[in-house]
Order: sequence, then C-alpha cells, then structure tokens
Amino acid sequence: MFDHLIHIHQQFKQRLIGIELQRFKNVVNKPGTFRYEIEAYNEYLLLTNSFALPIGTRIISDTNALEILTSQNGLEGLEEFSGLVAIELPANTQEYPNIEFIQIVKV
Amino acid sequence: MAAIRYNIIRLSVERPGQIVRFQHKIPSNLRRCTGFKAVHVRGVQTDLYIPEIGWFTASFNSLKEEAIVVPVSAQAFSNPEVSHEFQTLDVELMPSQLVVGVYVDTMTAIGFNPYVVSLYFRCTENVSVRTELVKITQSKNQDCSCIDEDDLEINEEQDSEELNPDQLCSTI
Repeated sequence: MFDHLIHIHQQFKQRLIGIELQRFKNVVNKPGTFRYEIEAYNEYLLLTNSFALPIGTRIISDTNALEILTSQNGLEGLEEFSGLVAIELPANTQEYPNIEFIQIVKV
Repeated sequence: MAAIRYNIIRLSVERPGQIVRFQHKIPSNLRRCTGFKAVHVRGVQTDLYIPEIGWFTASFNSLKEEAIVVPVSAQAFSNPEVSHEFQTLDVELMPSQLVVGVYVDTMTAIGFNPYVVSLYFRCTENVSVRTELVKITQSKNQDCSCIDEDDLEINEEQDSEELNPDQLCSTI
C-alpha cells in the first residue's frame, strides 16, 4: 500500500504546484439524497475512498470525471477533481458511505 | 515564421453517459498551442442542432496547466456545415509532456448510437530545431550528388505545405 501523502507531495512537486494547505474533507451522505455539489475552485480534491463507493457512482468536475465501475472499485489510486465537483449516487443504491477527500489548496 | 501543425485526439463513445479518458503525447518539436476545436465526427444523427452531446476537459504539460473545458455539439443532418474556426489557446509546451483529459457524454439514453468525437490542437513548431535537422540531413547527404527528379517534386510539395499552414496535415 502506498502512502497517499507522500505520493501527493511528490506529484505536486513534479507538477510545479505549491501547496498552501492540505487537509481532509468529508462529504456526509444522507439517505434519499443522490446528488451533491462541492465547490473546489483553485484547489484540488483527491478522492481517497473510491473503493467504498457504490458501483455506478459518478463524480464529475471541471477537470476530471470518474464513474465507479467494478474494475475501479478496488483501485488504490487517487482521483483528482477541481472546479465544481458534482457527486451522483446511483438511484437504486442502499449504501450511503461518507466520501473522503484530501483537500489541497494551491499557492 | 513558425510553421503550424495540427494534433488530433479522436475518441469513440460506445454508451450513454460514458466517460472516456485520454492521454496524448504532443511531439517535442511543437512549442506552443495556439488554438483548439472540439467536433463531432460521425455517429449522432439528428434533425435538429444539438448544442451539447458531451464535453472535453484537458490539461497540458503533464497536469501542470489546465486549459480547456469545451462542449461538443452535433449538427443537424440537413445542415451538416461545421465551423472551421479554432478557439484561442495560448499554452507554452514543455518538451515530451502529456495532454491528459476526459470526454464526458451527456446524451440521453433514448436513441443513443455510438459516435466519434475529435479534439484538434493547433500548435506552432519550433522551426529552428527543424532547420537544424534539415541542415544535418543535408550535410550527411552532401556526398551524394545524384538528385532524383521524384525527390525534387516531394520537396516542392513540402514547401507548398509550409506556405499554406492552415491545412490539416499532421495526426496523432
């Protein structure tokens, strides 16, 4: 298992992006709510628990889009989102896990 | 004068709502991207103009620069004219870096047909590097004094391409 925080620092260094702030951010799911929007302008949200999300969950932002498929369910990699981030849970889901991100505010 | 070269990223969309990821290496002789255009190539058949069938997002220089979020429209079957204008872009390209992005389909599932979309980049070439390469090639070929007439014709074609750089001449 790789260390998320080391990976983030190495990758942002490669991309010449300075980090002003790094912290955890959770989106708490409520039963019956299937769509959430988070603003992440001028910052990055790195999804850390894709494995816990229901199959069919879609996360769509201005810079990236992800659909949780069976094949992606077991991945450890971090997906990065920025801008307006929309989270759509599948309509027939019975699971409402918290969605966990590492928030990176760039310099 | 900088020569203009075009890069094309072509993607197939097979199902409604599909997210298609791409990463594309731009040739290292290209120095700057000055324009882009996102177009529907084939597959969507519609009687009415659809302003958005999906959208592209792309970042340049291996995720260092986020530059593009652009919708893709579909022309009506009866009016297939497509604008050839490029939208302005101004990205300095670092050598041997990736363009990374996604295409997100936003069509409804009703009557969905697989289709193809393209993202064109208009870039300028580093002419000095190319000139150097030509010089090196010429100096290597100096010993050979036999010039074939066919070669001359090919050279003339290349020159005319440089004089008219707006041709779509290079692919992935």
